[in-house]
Amino acid sequence: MSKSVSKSVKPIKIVVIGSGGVGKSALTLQFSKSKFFLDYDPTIEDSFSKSCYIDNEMARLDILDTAGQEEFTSMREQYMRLGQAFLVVFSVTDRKGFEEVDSLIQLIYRVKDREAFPIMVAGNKIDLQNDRCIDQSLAQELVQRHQEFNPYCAYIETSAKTRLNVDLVFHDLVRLLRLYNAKGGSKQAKKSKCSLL
Amino acid sequence: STQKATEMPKSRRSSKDKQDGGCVSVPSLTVDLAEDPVCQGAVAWLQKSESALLFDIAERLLQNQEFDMDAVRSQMPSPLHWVIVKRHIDLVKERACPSDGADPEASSPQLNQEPLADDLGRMNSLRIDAKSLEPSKSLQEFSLPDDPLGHAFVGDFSEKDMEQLRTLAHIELAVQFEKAGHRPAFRYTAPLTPAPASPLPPPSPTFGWRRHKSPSSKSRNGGSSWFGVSLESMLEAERKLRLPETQVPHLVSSLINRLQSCGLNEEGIFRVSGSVAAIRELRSQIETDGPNAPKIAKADPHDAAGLLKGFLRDLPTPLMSGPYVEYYRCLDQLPTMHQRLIGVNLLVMLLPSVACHTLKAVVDLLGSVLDHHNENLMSLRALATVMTPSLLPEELTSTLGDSERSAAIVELLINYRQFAWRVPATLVRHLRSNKCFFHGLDRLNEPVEEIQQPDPDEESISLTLPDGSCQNISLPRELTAWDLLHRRCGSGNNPDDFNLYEIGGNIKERRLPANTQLRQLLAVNPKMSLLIRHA
Repeated sequence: MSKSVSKSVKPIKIVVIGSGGVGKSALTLQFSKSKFFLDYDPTIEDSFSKSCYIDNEMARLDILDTAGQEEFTSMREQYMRLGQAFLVVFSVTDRKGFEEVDSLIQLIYRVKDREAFPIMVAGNKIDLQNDRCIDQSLAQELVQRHQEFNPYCAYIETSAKTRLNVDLVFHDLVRLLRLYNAKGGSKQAKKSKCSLL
Repeated sequence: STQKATEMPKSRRSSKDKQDGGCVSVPSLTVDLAEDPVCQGAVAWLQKSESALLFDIAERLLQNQEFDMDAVRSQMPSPLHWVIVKRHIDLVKERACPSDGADPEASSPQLNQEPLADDLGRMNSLRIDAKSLEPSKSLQEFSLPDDPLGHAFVGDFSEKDMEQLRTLAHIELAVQFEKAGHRPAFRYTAPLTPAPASPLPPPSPTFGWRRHKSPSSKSRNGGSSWFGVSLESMLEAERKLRLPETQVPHLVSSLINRLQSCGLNEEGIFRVSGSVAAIRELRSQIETDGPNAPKIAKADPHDAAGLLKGFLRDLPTPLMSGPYVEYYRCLDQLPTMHQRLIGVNLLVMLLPSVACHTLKAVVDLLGSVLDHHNENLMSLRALATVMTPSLLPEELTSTLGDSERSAAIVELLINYRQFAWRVPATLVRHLRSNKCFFHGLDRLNEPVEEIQQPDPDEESISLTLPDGSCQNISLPRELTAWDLLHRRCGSGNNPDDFNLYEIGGNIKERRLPANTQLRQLLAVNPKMSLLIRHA
């Protein structure tokens, strides 16, 4: 029954990006299949869909899992153009992956040609407390800097392994998108439509 | 044998049917072979008189339809010769009836397939036994049988020998694909290297390299000697800096050394990205201090891996590309793992020397990474997936499907790295026997290689020592290259510092592996002499 309902709902295109080996696929698979996969195969590109109720409203999520390595960039711009909301993942145990978060967010703004866009930053692998090298405050600071002009940006700590905040991070991203569509986003879109006409 | 008897007339009839249906009025035989990669390679390999003779045979075969193809084939001195004849016939037929049937492209490879497949049985040089096929793994395990003549590898031959071997590899590669019903386009472009000054009897074909990136990439690198320039010009720049001469650019080897010493146990090596800022700093350090910049030896392994990948991607021509791009693209069309492995082996042989050696250095490193997969968690598939965009051209990695197909090639290359740089024994045999190949129709019946049984008595051979002196030595039975080196260089020197080379006959120079049986080698190359030189 839920399937027939979900078909009538327009899917939301979510793109998961982030540096290599930070756990993008693990998060995506934990959310869509409720499993933690131990294999360590890098993704080139993968997609999943999942329907769920968020705040009593049906949502159909088309999630695109992407490659973290910069050498796969030839496909990057294309999927970025299609994405309606972005999940930017880094690992709290990997300083370099965190350093890339800011430039990835900048890239979203550039490709989308927007100053504000629904972006969720996920600090993953927080189950590995002993290896942690990125403090919560550090990540929060970064997101706060973006929030000054992008109110649709937020930070959540996750663990794909223990399933901590996995649903929350996707659900909150959908909430951000709804907010964006209801307010600034729709205005922006209308603006561009008008200018086209 | 009954099966054979029923099959043979059938195959002959099928080729006849085609001729009957396709109104064969054999035209003059001036087919432009220069455009056909198979013949181009083959003709370059043979001497003029030989190829003229072969075309003469082809002409007779074409004009006399009752000619027994199988008999002629069995009389050919080598499969290579038959390939040329067959190719020639096919080309003429294609010209004669281009609109034959609805789909001439589909029917002509089929015609080729049968006889060529037979020949390949003989030409299949990687005599590899499929030992086991683990159900969990998609890759088979192969092993090489011992070869008393010693396994030959790409780096063992002089460049002159390699040029000839590449021609043979090119033919063999085309045959492999032809057998599977494919004719990937060969991207022939103007050669970058001028023809050798003194063209020797078999002129070496110079295959030009298609520039993968626009020349603007050169200006983009802002006059750098180390990034975005060809491997050859890097070696040139190193020579100017008076660095020791090597086959692999110093920058590549120093990055590899760094990774060998500290990167193998690093989790997600080559997958986890390095720090953008640190890599940029390393680059500028290299620009000022040259390819042995001390910073490299202290670099974080992920930064070193990132820099190595970036360097490979910045090359004007990716390591695995060139005129054979379409062959890489079609490799998975070869039906068996064995054939794909032969394909990879031949494609590696066809790389220009520096690219070939550099690729070997990189793949050997990846092999070491794989050996430590319990620590670094990088599986074969993982490693191949992340390395593919740095090794193959963008046109073979820009979509998901292409990426996966290309990663499968890299997987083969890493997994079978001990085979991929081998020179198949049949090709070496062809190289050795070039001149005594073919002397005219009347001698067709003679065996190509008169393998002389070694005399019971000791044979003697000329040996040149490192100091240039020359002497005749006797070759006892069972004497190996290792034995000889130890006898001649044992006192006061380390024999491992020396190499033994086979020279003479049609071999310009080939380094011999330690287990080579010298007597048996002399039997297949009676004109050879030996040379010992510092490694």
